[in-house]
Amino acid sequence: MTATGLQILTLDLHDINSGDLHFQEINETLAYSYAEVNKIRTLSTTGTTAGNDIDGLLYTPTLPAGVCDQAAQYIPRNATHTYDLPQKVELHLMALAPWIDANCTLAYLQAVRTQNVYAFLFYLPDNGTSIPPAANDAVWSLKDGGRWKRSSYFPVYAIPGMVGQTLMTQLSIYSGNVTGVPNGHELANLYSPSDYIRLAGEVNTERVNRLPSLWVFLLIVLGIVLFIIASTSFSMHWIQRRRRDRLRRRVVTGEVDLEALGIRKLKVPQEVLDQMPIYHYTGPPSKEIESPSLAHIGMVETRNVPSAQQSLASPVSDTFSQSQTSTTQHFLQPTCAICLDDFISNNSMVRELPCRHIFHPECIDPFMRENSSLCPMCKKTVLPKGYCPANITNVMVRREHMVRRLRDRVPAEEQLPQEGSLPRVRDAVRTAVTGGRRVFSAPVRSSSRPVDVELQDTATGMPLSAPRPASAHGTPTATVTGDGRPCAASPEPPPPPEDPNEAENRRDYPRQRASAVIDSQQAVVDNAIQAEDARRSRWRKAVGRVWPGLA
Amino acid sequence: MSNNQKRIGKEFQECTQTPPKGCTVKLVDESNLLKWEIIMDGPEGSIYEGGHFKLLLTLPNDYPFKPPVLNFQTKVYHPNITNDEKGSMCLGMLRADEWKPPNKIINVLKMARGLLEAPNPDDAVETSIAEQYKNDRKGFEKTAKDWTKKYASGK
Repeated sequence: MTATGLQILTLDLHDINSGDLHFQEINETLAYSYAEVNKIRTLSTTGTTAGNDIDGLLYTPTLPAGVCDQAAQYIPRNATHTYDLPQKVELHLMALAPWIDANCTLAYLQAVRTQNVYAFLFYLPDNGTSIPPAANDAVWSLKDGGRWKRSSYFPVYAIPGMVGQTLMTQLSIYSGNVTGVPNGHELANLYSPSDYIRLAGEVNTERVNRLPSLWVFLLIVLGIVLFIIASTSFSMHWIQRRRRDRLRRRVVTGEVDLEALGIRKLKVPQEVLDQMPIYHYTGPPSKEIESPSLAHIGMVETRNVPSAQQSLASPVSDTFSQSQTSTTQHFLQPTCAICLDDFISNNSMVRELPCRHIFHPECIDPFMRENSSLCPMCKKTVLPKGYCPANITNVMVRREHMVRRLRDRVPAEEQLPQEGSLPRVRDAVRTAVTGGRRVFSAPVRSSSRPVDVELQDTATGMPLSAPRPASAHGTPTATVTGDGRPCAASPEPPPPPEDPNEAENRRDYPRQRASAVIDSQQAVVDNAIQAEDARRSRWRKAVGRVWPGLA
Repeated sequence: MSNNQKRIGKEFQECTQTPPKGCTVKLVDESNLLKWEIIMDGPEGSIYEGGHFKLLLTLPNDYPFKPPVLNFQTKVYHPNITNDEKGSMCLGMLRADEWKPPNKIINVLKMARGLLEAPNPDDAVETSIAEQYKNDRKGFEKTAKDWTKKYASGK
């Protein structure tokens, strides 16, 4: 690995003869030492491992005679050679030589090949003091394309010329007996005279846990971020897909009605409309139709049909579930609620919706095709089960979720009127209680409450969800009994509209209130959805595309 | 849409022949069935008694699939009626998602009158009036009566 510094110190080697090498660092006040950082250039890293310092006794290799004779001028005769070092033990060595030219260097590298060299220090004999040229500089070319770096088994470093010269001089000083070196007499007192006092080098290399350079670091961070984005995006897309599938299933099973929840306006394709029966109207007894005041108030006459009258004494819900389950008795309406025209018996063609309300096909078809999939009378969806009317989008999933969440928040104690017949209140309460699995929508309603409510309601000519008129035409005392339950009153002629009916107004008030409460809940849902949509800025939409369900 | 003209005509006929209590209905322009002018008398016993309120009912082209719009042209001090030149009335049944084609204009008018009689401060459009209605009924009634006298007493 790349060298970061060089230390030279003086060692005392003793007890050589036992074949066991003991060495001791000599205090720098008594002997030579040198340390320098960042002035060493790495030419070859062969044989090094990251973070490990390389050390060895410093010496200068001996060239064969006649090879690179000019090297001799840089190397003192008595510089430490292999023969100046203890011979009996395997020593870690560090070679030092001047870099004169390619031939000399190759000769040096060849010369140390048989020796236990751990590193080779070269210096340019130019007395330079700065860090030597970079490893790819032409100075270091051996004209073999760098093959020498691979063929040697040790790392090669370059040190400044001045340092090299100094070390070479020191090698000549510390090559003889203990007494022959500087401060030899003191050292002789400390160490055995048979010891060797020699220089050793230590090349410090980069720590392995060094931080990678900045751009590598950034790339790694970027990669991690991208990976996190990709994996979360993938998983959220997957989750969203599952949510869409689940919503689609619930739509198909009729558990969720997208339009009744205000999630999406739905239209009914003509093919679906074509599947609903069209037949000649065979209306109620003609005497009912003769009465114009009854004709335009909708379903009141229905109560007069024979099957209904049979069980007039029983609660109206029974009456009407009977009339509804009866296969022979279609859901009798004398009037088309859209054009307000009376059906003409055996003449008018009528289309019957799944909720059994009937209309002129020319009235209901455009409405279904262009406006809504809900029955105009009862707001029950006309779409058949198993039919998914629209592509389920993430937005729809989100809205459905919001609607459900808001429903969950609707407090159950919200001003419940005594007349429990208001279906939306009941549904709201059930929704609040059961965790919002159910919805207000007509499919649930139809299964959970008596049909008579619808009829009674229709009789007033007003929607369930809207506050009642103060005195609904033709209905007041007849359809609401003292306890507020709608009942099967026999159709009396409606009181003249001018007739003041303040008491009835008052009795109707709680119902209006309840309707208004429900309305305001619906408004809360709608407003929240709209506000939420408005809040979704462009960047949030972009985020939503990457992480659906997040934004 | 002949169907729709027929229905509107029928409803108009109903409203003129058997008008809802305290209401007189006529067309703003005889040739246009979609704009109705209604004079509504303040309900007896209510704070609006004695007032004659002029209302404009506008029917959309695709009535009865879309709800009509009801505006008070006479200024009226009421929590559910906007206090501006439009005088829009907040009626749940008139909201697009609540509207059902079987609803009839005569019922809309009855309900509007019912709302004059019994304001619904919880679903108000004028929140300050609704606050006053809830907390300072006397002050509310006084202002409403004053306004009725000031704006709605003349024909």
